[in-house]
Amino acid sequence: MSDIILEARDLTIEFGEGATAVTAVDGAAFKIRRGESFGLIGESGCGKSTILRAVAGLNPEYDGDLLFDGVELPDTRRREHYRAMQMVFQDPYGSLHPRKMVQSVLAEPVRRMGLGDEQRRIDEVLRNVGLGPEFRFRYPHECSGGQRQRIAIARALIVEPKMLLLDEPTSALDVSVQAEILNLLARLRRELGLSYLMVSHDIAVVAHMCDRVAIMRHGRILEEVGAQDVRAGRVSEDYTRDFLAASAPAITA
Amino acid sequence: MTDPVLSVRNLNIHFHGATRTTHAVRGVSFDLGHEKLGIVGESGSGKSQTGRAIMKLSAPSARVTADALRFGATDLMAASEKQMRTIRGRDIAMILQDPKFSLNPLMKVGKQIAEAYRIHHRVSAAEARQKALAMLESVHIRNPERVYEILPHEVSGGMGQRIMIAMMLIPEPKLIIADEPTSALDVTVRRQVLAVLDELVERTGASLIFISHDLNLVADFCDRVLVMYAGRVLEDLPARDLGRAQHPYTRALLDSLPRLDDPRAELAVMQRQDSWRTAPIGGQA
Repeated sequence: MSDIILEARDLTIEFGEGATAVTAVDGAAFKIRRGESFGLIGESGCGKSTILRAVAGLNPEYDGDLLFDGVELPDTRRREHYRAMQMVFQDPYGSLHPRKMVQSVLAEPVRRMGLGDEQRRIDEVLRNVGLGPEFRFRYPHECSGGQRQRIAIARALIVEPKMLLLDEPTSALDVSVQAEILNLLARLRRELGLSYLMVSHDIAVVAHMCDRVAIMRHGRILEEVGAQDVRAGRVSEDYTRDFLAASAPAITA
Repeated sequence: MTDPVLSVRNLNIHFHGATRTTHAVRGVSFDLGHEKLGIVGESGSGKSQTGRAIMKLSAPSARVTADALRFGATDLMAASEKQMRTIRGRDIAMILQDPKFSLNPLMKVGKQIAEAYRIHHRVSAAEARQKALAMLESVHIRNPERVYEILPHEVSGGMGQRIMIAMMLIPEPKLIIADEPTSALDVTVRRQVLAVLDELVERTGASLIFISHDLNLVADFCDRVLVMYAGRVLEDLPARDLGRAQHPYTRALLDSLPRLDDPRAELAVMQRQDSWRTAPIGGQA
């Protein structure tokens, strides 16, 4: 078992053909160690979500290599790959089926992966994300934004993944609820030994959650810095410095 | 404060549903002078409803009552819909969150700006065009002649929001209500848009109500801040003192933010208290 859980080598993703082709990701490379939390940060359109989608297998058209556990991911992912890497989307209002009860939202991945022991898994995962068993019989519209995001996290966790792909998991939430969800994600990573690949435009959130951060612009990874260096402002690119300055907190106690 | 631009006294908004009544805004009072007033709070705290009530744009199901809702010499509570139509846009303008949904997708952006001007001023089409071009330039759009001719889907988020600002400020309103004007934008673009808004507000001497959930942004941009919770104003304080806010709710909001300069293993989670909903509010008229 190698120490690196996910590696991207010269990852390039293009959309369209010929004169109208757009290079969304241009030669991105990074390595994520087992149990590590890695952040991708940048403005809209910089390609951070495109990388995430390629890793998840939602966008099979890419050049370069993606290695999971030291083995190259095939174009058509097999069930074990989907099981190992699960995605949590930005908008908990859009990512849950409005006409499915939480029970069936959570039961489906268990059945698809053929894991069995459905009810025990559902009860356990709900407890794990801090929701009571009564939530099994609720529809998404009966839950608040924070509760929905917990359900989305539960849906990702129920198949016992090794890695979570987090696409701006708290940007649709209030700051008070954001704190709850970030705490939950930090606890789950600690307890379950997960690795995270997290995309966000909020540098304070990424610095809080991640060990290392890659700053992206125009499809390229400009630089990779440790969370400590981000906090101390030890960065080498001008753009990163601008980005940090634009996100600097105005409130001083 | 001499002669407030806007005076709100005991504003209440109820929504009557089939089975229950929601009391969304509960006794909000404030005066607004020539300043930038921020209103912060979580979703559902009533901040947007307060903004809408000033424009009298509340949903039909809302019942709005107030002891006073005065804009200069005008009593907004007594104003007819016809009067409101001349006030909206000309005297009070509103900037909404997402330019994608608030611009007409089938109309050239320049035309939309010119139209906003012609509705309130009797000028020729050519004159309105000139005015719109000048306005585009003042929101720092390079090559206004080209941008005048394009459609909303061709502009980026930041540019769209600057176009919205141009459109809302061209009739030279005295009061601007900005409801989360930069929430849909990137941090780097946000700065530019706020700088443009700030510059125009300073130049025209308009007052601004800035509704946002982002405490840092409001502390940075506004002069004064109202903190709302469950339909009430809990705190009214100068923006630079936000970091020293007294109320436990404001403190909890501040503590729940991850900070670059103060790393911690666990973020503080808010313990909500019923007394925040009911306790009398200090320092409030």
